[in-house]
Amino acid sequence: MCGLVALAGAVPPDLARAATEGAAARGPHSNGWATWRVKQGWRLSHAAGRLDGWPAPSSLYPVAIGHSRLATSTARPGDAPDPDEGQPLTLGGLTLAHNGTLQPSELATHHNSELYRGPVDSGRLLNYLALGRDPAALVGQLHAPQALIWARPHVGLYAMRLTGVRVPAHPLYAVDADTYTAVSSAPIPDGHLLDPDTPHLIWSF
Amino acid sequence: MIPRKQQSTQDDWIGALRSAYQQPDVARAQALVATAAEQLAEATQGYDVAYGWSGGKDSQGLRLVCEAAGIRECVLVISELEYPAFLGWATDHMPWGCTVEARPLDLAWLLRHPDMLFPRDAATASKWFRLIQHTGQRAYAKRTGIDMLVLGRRRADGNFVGPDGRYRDRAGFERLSPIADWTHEDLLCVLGANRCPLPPCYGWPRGFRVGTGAWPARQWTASPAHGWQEVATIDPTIVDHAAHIGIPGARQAAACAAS
Repeated sequence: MCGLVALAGAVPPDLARAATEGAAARGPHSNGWATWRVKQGWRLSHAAGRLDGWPAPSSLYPVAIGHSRLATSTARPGDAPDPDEGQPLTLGGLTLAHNGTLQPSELATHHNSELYRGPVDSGRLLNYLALGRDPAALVGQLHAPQALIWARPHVGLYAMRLTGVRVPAHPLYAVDADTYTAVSSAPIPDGHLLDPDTPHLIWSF
Repeated sequence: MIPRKQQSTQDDWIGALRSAYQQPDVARAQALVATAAEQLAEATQGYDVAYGWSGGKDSQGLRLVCEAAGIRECVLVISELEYPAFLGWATDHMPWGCTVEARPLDLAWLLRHPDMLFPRDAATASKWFRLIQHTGQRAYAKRTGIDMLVLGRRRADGNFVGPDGRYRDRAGFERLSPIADWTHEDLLCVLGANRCPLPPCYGWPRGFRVGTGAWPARQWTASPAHGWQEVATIDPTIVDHAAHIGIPGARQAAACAAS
């Protein structure tokens, strides 16, 4: 299970730490952050190991999405997974962090599209969302439970938990405040578990 | 009655498992879990505690007991030598409070330690356990500050559990096994009544005897070639990549699988 985190606005440091460290516990193989800058768009960084530290959102970085990966499939089974196979993934203006597995037949038409062609199954979700497909249409369509956080400037930061077949959706907790928000795979202070099977607009930017 | 793990066959387990899921004894399962959870809650009072979750049948039973006792935090220790299908299953089913510890044992390490491939004696098997499970558990304990780990070890599986189901290792770290006295049939009763999902390894060759764990740590193979043959049946991509790296025996196994 991978760990997801999103920070937006003036997140208090203690909350940012709790959200990040909780997500980090779930994914030991590699980590990544996507930060969005006004006029510059998304900036991605990937590294080996679990998430360690976080880019504090500010007027320069109003939104940051992090991912700590448990690699379930890699190009070379038996070798330490390549951090460049990790997440978040970005395509055009859209950035995605995903926790879950997709069966080969699921979203298969989005696999070899002209968009993202990388090695991870999460790329199919990225293609799906980047093409402007309705995330709510995924409800009841996927075998395994999922959790995803995605964002597109001028559209917003979203989070969604999807129930699998006889398996509850992966967790995502959120804190709502006027000047900030945080989402994490792990429980966070004053956080609430997001309702499953519905897209949640977490932050507008 | 299912014999001890080392003597049991796949057929022994499959028949009993089918029966436990098709004719669940809910009352007996509830009593087993409630009794174990009550004893666990009492034994862990005053401790910072988590449980070990491997995804295997025993840890799925243990998970129910721990959750009934209010223990949510757990640790899954893996290496880079796990079956990808198992990791996919674990991602889909792991408890929400699970921390994943990955030990840096990979193909490059295996290449330097060819004697560790498919252990055929207890000493080598226990070395695998020490290198992955014990080291990972200690790393988790150090990071989180827990002073007791709850485990799904059972006497019927031939596991060491210590007197009264608890023991302290040389470093002073305490391990407790609240389902130590469950028989195989007790465990299957609990799993069946709760419709617990089980990982794909139990459907693989000798799955119930081998259980979860790293693929090169498969025990009780008749020969290295037998080990490679089983791994190739389960996931040929593992053998292909091991052959590419130069792990002894993998190239021949890959050629056999391809012919």
